[in-house]
Amino acid sequence: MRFVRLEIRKIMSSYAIWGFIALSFAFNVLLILSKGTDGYSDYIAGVSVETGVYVDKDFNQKLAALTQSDYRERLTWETAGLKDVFNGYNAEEIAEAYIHALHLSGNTAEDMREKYAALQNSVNEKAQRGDSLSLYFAGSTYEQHKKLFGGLMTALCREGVLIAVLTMLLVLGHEHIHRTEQVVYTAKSGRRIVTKKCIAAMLAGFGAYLLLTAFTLALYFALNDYGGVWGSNVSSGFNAIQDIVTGFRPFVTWNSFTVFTYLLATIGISLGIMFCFSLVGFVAGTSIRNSYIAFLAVFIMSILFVAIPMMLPGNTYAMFVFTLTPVWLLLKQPLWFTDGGMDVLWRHFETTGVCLSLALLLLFAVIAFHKFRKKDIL
Amino acid sequence: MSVTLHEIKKIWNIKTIIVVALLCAVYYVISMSFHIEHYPNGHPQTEAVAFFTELAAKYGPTLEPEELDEFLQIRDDLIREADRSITENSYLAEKGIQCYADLRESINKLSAVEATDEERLALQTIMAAYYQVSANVVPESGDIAGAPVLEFMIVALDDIADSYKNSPTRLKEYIADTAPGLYRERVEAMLSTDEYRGIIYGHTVENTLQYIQGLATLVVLTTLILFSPLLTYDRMRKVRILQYTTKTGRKIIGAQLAGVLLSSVFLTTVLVFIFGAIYSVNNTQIFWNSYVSSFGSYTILSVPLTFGQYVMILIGMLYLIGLSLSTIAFVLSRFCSNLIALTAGLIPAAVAGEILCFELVFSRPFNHLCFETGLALFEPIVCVVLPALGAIAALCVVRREKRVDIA
Repeated sequence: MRFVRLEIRKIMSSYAIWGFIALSFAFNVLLILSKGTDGYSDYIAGVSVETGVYVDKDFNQKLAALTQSDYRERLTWETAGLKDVFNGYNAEEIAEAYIHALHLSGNTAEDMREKYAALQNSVNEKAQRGDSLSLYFAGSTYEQHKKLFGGLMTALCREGVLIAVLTMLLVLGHEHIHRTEQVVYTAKSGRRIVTKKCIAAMLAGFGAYLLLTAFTLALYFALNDYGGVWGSNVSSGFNAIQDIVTGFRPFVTWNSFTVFTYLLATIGISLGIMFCFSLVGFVAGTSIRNSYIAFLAVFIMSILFVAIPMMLPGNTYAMFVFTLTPVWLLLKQPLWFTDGGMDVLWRHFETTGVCLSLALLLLFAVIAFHKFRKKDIL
Repeated sequence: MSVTLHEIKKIWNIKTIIVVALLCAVYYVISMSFHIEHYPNGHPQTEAVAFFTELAAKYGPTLEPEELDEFLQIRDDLIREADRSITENSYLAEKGIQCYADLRESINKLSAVEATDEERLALQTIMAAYYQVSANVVPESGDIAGAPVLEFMIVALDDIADSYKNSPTRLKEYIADTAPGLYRERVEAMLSTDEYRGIIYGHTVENTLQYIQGLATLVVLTTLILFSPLLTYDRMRKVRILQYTTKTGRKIIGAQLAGVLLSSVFLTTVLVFIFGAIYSVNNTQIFWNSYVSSFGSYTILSVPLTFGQYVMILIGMLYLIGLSLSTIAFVLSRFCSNLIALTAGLIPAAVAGEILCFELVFSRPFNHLCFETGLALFEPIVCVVLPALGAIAALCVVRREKRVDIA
């Protein structure tokens, strides 16, 4: 434990990591400011505390009792006669559209149908609960959801991944950089110290990500009021997913999520992906002594993982397996906890992807550690 | 000079070259290859590109009205072919569609804004039936080998004829009272010259620009990756004290800067040659002397440029971007004490470089930013200012290094 603490201190004393966090925060601030604020969304956030977020008779009465304003008129118009989009919604049609678009046949086509048959159950449950009658940000929902989960959370997740890899490479490359390898690796704890370094780097990386997320989200929510909207369901009828095959369609999650729980779940999966990339960094850092080349190797491997599925034939499992890798999970961040679109074949792809990747990467990390124990350090 | 050559040798080490080559190959596969494999992309763009290529081959860089009339004779062949196909289709005959003119009339009627759902469905069925009969290749229609769908060919030809004939009117409409001064000037100049008669299609210009944007990404990444570790390696190996006390002394830092700048020029040249050679398979060089601001491109540039000049200027801008980033890499390299610090500094530099390329310099060169700012050469000016600023920063580093305490 003492070693872990000391290694964390090493990381924390690095100007490079603090500088990177500061620049990431500056980038996030620019991202937040460039998107601006929306008066109508702020209005909804304010009034939803009084009206509630479930659009029913009670909501309409409370809305009608509010002070007359253009925003109230707009909200009344948008919520009047709101229909449950999940009532009679056929998710299985999406499967057929994707099968047609990707020319799937055989087992892959069957798996695609199975995925959307399972999604139909979620749709039916949502219809029973009336999730789509949730207010969210009414007519501004799509833009507001995209701004937070498709913009800011994506940036935070990518920054988190970079921090995870950098801290890991920093701590593993520290001895090489300072030419203390021969001393450290011949001490009593020997090369086993890299496991402590690994734990320290992960803890420091997670801490840095949470710190960055906390500051960024604090600023975001200070500028964009969420008020009563926190309790809205993300599968509101106002929310949507857009893809090139099916166009706009309802935002269907496998489970029921409020905006707050969806945000927490997104942070959770981000941490999982950071964990994966930390292990990738560990494998690269113990295999390649030059931290710079190790980082470039991770970078190129990541791009390679994006490129390989593009070169594979469409109707094979191999292409879909790649979408479960951490790199693809990063790219598909705005669709986490939903069906994931046409390049995803299985349900809960983000959780499955993180778990499988972790299992595989842990195995690689153990192999890398054993190889490192026998590696010539001179 | 020999010191500079040795520094260049240090930059171009085999490990980094392999990494950079791999990066270029992978990036080409995921992004740039699209502009080769899928050019032309979609319909009627595919047919239009074929027609524009044929026009350029036949009539050179500009199209005169009589040349267009002559070229449009192939439309009659296509209509005859369409008529023949339609008369053979029993479904269309049943709907009272006897020829291509009838078909167009039906389509116009059924696709009207006030059309009912039934009418829209009927339209879809008619179109499906027509697409079935018109899907055959028309080998006798001239020089256009392997043109796919008859309807798209007719639509593409009609678009070319309409845009050519309506171009002066359209351009006059553009000069509204609210149009920026530079924009008005340009449109007036286009009307008074033959510029708008240039034979080039917008899809070709767009595809080339997007390919150059991809190349710009590679210039940014490879420049930063290759040049940034130079001084950091020296610092890490603690050879600075040795270097500064030799005969060359602290002048070596100047030689290192020269090495970085020369390498930048060489790297950009290599990238331009390799990826330019790959792009040449698209045969866009046939439009080399055609004006970009023309009836087919629907683009008005802030200066009258032919496609060749446009491409050459964009390549020049790539060199300048490469030089400015190499100076940034040099400065970064001086201030980073280890490779991780350098990597942490490179990531924001690369992001900034990408934003600069995609949002500012190569977003729509010689177009909206020029008209908004009133500077006809806005992007080239940015590209000249950036390396100048980078050079000032790098020279400051060189000057500072000459006086810094090395003990």
